[in-house]
Amino acid sequence: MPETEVVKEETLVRGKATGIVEIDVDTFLCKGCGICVEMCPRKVFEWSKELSERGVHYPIPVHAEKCVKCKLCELLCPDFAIAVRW
Amino acid sequence: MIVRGDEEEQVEILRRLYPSGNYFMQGDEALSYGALFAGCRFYAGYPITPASEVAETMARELPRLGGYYIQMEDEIGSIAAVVGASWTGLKSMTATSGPGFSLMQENLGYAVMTETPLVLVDVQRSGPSTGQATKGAQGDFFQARWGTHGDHPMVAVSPTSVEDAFWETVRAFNISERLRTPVVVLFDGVLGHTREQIRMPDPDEVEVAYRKLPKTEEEAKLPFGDPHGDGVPPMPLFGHGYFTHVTGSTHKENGLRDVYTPEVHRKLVRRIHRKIEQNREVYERYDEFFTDDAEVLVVSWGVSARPSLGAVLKAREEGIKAGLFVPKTVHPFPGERLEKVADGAGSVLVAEMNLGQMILEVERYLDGMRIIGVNKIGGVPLTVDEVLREIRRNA
Amino acid sequence: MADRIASTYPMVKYLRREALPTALCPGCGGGTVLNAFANAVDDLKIDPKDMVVVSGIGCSAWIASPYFLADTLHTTHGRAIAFATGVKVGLPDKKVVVISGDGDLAGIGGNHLIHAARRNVDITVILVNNFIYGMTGGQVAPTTPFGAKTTTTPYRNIEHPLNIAETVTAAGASYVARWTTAHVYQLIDSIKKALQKEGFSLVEVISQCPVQFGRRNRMKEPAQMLRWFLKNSVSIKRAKNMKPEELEGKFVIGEFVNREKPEFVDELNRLIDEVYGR
Repeated sequence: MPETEVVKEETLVRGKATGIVEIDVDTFLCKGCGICVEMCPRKVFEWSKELSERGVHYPIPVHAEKCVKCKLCELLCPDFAIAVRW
Repeated sequence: MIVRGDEEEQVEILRRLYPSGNYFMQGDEALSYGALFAGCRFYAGYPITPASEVAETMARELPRLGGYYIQMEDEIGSIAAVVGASWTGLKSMTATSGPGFSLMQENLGYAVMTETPLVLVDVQRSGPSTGQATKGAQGDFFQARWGTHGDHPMVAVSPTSVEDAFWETVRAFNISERLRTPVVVLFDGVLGHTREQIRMPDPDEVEVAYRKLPKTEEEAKLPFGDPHGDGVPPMPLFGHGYFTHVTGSTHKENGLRDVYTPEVHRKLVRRIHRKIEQNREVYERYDEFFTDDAEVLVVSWGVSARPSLGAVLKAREEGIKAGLFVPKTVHPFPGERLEKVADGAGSVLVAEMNLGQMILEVERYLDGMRIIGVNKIGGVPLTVDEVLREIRRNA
Repeated sequence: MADRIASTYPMVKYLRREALPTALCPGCGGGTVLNAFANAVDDLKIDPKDMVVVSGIGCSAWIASPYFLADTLHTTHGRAIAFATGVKVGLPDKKVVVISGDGDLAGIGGNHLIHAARRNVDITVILVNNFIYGMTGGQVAPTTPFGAKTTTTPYRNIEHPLNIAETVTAAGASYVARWTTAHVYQLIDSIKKALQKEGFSLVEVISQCPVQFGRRNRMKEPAQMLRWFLKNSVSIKRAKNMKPEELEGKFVIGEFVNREKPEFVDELNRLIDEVYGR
């Protein structure tokens, strides 16, 4: 199983699982509601340790390699903060 | 599909369907024809005595001109649909009476705040509440001015005869289009249901105004700004790709809501007031009869102006120097002109079919003068003799 | 002017960037509805320039207004559908969409909802049902479940909720569907069908309000409410064979009606054609 590379550039967090999927999280838009973390059937996301500028913990796609591309995180996200690409 | 009403094809149809000449009809019908000649092509309404005939006339005539009549489920829906249609470019109108006018207040205020042109006809009937449904009155004077909540200006006109209803409705449309504001026509159940002769004009005799449209992308982006300094923003209609945002909440010049910055609210509400205050020549109108040397000045409006004129004429025959001042635009009230006209009069009589409403405006301007109300309620109009008696008593 | 949005989600292009982030609470189902709506518009390749979106007052009225980038009309409480009717008559070739809440459209605005369905006017109504008056702090609504706690039913709700989808179906709508925000794929499909349907279409969306409803009813986490939706959803087909007591507290989801019938603006224009100039 390939590793997921997590990169954070300012307010964009990216979980890259080469050959599988890339998942982006915008920490400026994210309000830390947790829907993606809880509803993902593969537990791709983990909460960040530190707080975002908005004062909330945000989801990091740490296990993007497990993603089955159901896109529930992307579609359920009320803030358009998540993008799932492959 | 913007219909101004003066397009060639429309003019040809108007001429053919309603050839110029004398007609015999009710006030409700006359005002409807005025609306049609002014370019009104959308009507949404609800039946109510004594305004139902406006709806019936519009239902019959609008489709012949390519216009739309909808009967909504209530008065609130009616004025809502009128506002919605106005934002697509259609000149829109509704008509009602007291109880319906009460229901429409919220959305009337919405039209003021969003600067939506429309005409709202109130065929006043005896109130309060259900009152004397089939009888005329003039009890909605201040409701027209202050019925909707908050600091807002209002423009209202009041016809004095059946034929006048045609022309005052035309004028109402033109004011509403020029100033991007709703205009109330304060009509009444007496004239509404009275049949008189009216002369249907040729369409060329009827002036037709249309709202300012944006000329540039910048103007379209500021639907609530003041690019020309006259207080009237161009109106970026729906359906043209402008992505216009319209809201009843306090908003910035670009239309987006901002309720947190006090200055935004002040600027918006003050400009909406200034838009009306500084454009008096667009709406101010009054009729004056024998006012130059009047010692007894009668001030009246709407249906009561006629017996007042009759009384003034008779008084003059008796040697009394009586005069008559009739505001045609009743809101904003032409107080400055009244001050000039009343100068030299010993008494001022205010004749109206209510317990004294316009008289409060008169008192506000003619502070210190002798002002007497000539009031009548009960659903029967003032008579020439009733007004004449008061003139004699105060001569 | 640069903004702070870094999101690479393609649907962001349908939003009014200068108004973001939304004023909706974290986890609000309304955001999911906006997401689904953008996806539906995108799938159908509808140009927002050919749309007018109308809303009333309430949190759900904020979903598309001002956040969706199109001509938007934010009206008075309960009256969005009446305003939209006027807009549709004046712009018959545009897609006129109403996105507003349950208290707004089915409470105070119930009359307009019923008659627009009766008229079968070609507008698409996305009624976001979070069974509460959220914006004003969480008062009971005509859709609040029996027994629930709200600020104005601090003990328990003694009323039963209105079945909006069935009411609108009976009133004469061409297309009626109900889904929950958890059923986001079906929701997108229904919104697409509703947008394409000529006639009155209603998509009722059961949506989570974790802050005003969930929090007072032991479901303060958005995901808790989503799981509650999934657990208590019953398809229309299955519901047919269930007794009323079994259906108590359940969400019946699916398409209630999809039929062809004469549409109002069409009929109005046909009438005008018959008498124009005569």
